[in-house]
Amino acid sequence: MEYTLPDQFNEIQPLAEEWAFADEAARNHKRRASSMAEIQGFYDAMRPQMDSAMTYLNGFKLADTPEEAKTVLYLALMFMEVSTAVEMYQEVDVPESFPAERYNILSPSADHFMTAG
Amino acid sequence: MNAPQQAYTLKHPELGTGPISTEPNISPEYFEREREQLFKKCWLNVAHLQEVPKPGDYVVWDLAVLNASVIIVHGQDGQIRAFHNACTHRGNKVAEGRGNSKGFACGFHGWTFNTEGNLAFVPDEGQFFDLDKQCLGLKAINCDVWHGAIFINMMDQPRETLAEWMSDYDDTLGQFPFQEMELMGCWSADVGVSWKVFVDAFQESYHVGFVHARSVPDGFVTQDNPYCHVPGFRLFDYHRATTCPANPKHSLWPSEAVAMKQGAMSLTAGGLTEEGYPGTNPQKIEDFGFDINVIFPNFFQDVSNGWFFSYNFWPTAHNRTLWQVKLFTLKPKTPADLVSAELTKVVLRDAIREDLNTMESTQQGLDSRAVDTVLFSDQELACRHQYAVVENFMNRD
Ligand code: FES
Ligand SMILES: [Fe+2]
Repeated sequence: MEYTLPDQFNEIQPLAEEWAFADEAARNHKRRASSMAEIQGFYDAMRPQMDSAMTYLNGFKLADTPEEAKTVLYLALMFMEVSTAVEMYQEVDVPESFPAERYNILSPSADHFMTAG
Repeated sequence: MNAPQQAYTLKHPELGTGPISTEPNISPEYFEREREQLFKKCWLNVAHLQEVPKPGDYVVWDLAVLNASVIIVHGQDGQIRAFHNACTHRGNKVAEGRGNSKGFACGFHGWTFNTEGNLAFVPDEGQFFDLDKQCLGLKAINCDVWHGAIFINMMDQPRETLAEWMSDYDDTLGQFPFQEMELMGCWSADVGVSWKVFVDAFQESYHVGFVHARSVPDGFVTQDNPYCHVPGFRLFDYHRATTCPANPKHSLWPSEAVAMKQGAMSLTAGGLTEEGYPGTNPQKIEDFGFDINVIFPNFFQDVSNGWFFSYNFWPTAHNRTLWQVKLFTLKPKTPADLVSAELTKVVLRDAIREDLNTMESTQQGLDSRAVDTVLFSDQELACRHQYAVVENFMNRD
């Protein structure tokens, strides 16, 4: 898979290879497999880009989302995935919670919304 | 809002104020009674229309509490039906999981049924004696749809129609714009807890300041309302509803600010919108969070401004429950809408893992018989109501 972002997102291009996932289950797995420092690094790099990312992503109808915009989308979704780790818990995973391995994530993939007719 | 003390329970003298026996949550015999007298006689939500949107779409549920495997299928003729997942040849299951199909071919000897349940093809048919294919369709189960929610009823003649069964909600939940929402998130877990203890955990807000102290610290609990008091209860014959308040002065986290700018209603920001959604907040409280609508016995539809979520609790034993939650938000139009909805998803998903954390330890405490009763405060009236109406339902007729 190609992870080339549009030029305006050059600064977060280095994140794309490691942090871009269409599926919530994959994003949650990546979060739980990362250290808090890695998560914080990703969050800090993404946060200043989120407003322009949202403006950019608003420029497409879901069904017409180009490939390069999909990577921006996956990274923005990952920002939301780690937001509770950074903003609420200051821990990688939810403390004092039901085990993640027993909690099944069955949500539709982001790709589902971009292909569904 | 901060509720006056002991304001609600005394209005329902039939419910009493005393301790409640733990027996219904720890007794296999009680569960067997529930299986026969409650679950096999009640309208039960099994799926949402959005899970089977097109002709040929189907989903299969093995429902241990009904001793049945059930196929819910969107027929080629547009109708939603439910069938026993049992071949009329020799009983084998004809479908599993979910998907889209023109029909169901049994893997054992190839008998094939169409999406309307009719037996369409029998291999080597000439070898059978007096085969009347007309009468050998899949066995139908009563099935009906209420505002997008698909229900089944295992009785041959349900005592009331689904519309009658749901009529307590006609002027609230029935007004909610379900058709504007889309399924965005779905999570499930197999939890070692009684289905009723599980339901209780989601129908009171006494726990919010404790269980969710870290996840939504100022989202629901305020200085004025430190115990997240609810503004009252709507107790029906079997269903019940209440409203969870939120903190209108809640300061937005950075991710939440991004999501809300895009139009998503954050989980904690119900009251921050100027006009409420139809069908929500019947008491028009200013610190509105979301309505908790319990559809007896094992289904929730909790609604707020721009989103709703549902819970299904499927017992597999007196102390074990298969649970599923589905989150619906406003239909996304652009990729940015997906990002906005993702925040609501992640906050809900993570907060619910906090709720689930108390379930197995509570059940272990009850199973140990260290306590033989539990106590419900005025703010836990919905829980008290549950034990009374389960018993009432099983004794009706
Ligand atoms: S049991 Fe289904 S074809 Fe024989
Ligand atoms: Fe909770």
